[in-house]
Amino acid sequence: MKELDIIIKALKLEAQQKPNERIYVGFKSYTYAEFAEMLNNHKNLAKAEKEFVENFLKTSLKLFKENKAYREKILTLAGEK
Amino acid sequence: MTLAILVAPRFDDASSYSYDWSREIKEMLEEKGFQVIDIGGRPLSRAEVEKVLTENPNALFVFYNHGNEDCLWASQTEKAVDEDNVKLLASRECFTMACLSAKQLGVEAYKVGCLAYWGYTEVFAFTTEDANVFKEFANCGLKFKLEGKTWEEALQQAKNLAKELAQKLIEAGKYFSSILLQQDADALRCYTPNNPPTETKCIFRKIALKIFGPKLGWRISRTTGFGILLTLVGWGIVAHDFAHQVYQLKGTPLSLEGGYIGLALNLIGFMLLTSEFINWLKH
Repeated sequence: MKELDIIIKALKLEAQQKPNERIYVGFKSYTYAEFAEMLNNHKNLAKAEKEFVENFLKTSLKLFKENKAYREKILTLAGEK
Repeated sequence: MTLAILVAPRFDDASSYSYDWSREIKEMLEEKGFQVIDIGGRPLSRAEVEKVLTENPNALFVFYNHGNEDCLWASQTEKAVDEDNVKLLASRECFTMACLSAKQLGVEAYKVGCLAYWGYTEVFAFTTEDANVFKEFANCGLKFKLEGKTWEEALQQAKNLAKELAQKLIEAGKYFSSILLQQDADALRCYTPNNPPTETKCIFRKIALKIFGPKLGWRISRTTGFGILLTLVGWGIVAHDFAHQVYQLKGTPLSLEGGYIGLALNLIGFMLLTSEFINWLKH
């Protein structure tokens, strides 16, 4: 599995555990599950959302590569360890 | 007593959060002896914000609400501050908790003489799950400043705090919050005369920043830059045309001619004037 796929899988699992939590992004808001779904389909999003989601993925990938605790926890949550 | 203007409109869910976070800011300011002019908790009008800024020049300006690259929003439809009235931010410190405004409005504020512009170059995002952590991060810059730090030190401390908080969120298994907090911290900027903006989309501004550095690069107006460009291009055309004429007459462009001397004097004069202008700008 690619690193990004592992991260998205883990985030989807976190979203399942927290159905009532929301993310506010400027004027818009999403449930965790809605946002996690956007991570998979970001190429079809409007420009501003696409930029935001791509930035989010970039930051998470950077954390995955540089932060050992984050990497270990994401791998465990995604069942890849 | 030192004055602070706190503007925190409220007109949707997100601005209810930012309004709530701004209450802590009000308390902090009052504890430090500020007299706080507090307008918010409802949609505001541009006129209201302009009035309070005009009546209180030099007062610290704190803004909590939505923003865009070129503005801070007073309501869903009305801009409180944009490039048309950005001069109201001159000679004062501005602390904003709003999306995107450091990208363009903050730069314009810096250019008109804003003493400090605290803001974000990207969308500010937060989670309901950890709203308190995001509040701590959003408010910490002004807290550090009120504790006696410089704006530059406060910026560094805010970024350090974000790292610590993001790490705690990772350890608690809160990955959405952790990533978003890190993104917010990456987008945080504070423009001051000691820490001018360095990012721009304009190719000519990029060249000016590269050649003259950020402090001076922002002070050269578009008209001046365009004037310099036209002068140099015009000079190049004349030099080329004159060299071509000389070549046709004498079979070589290299010949001591009055035209060349004139062009050389012209270029030296232009360089002297430009250098004087840059020296004047520096002061």
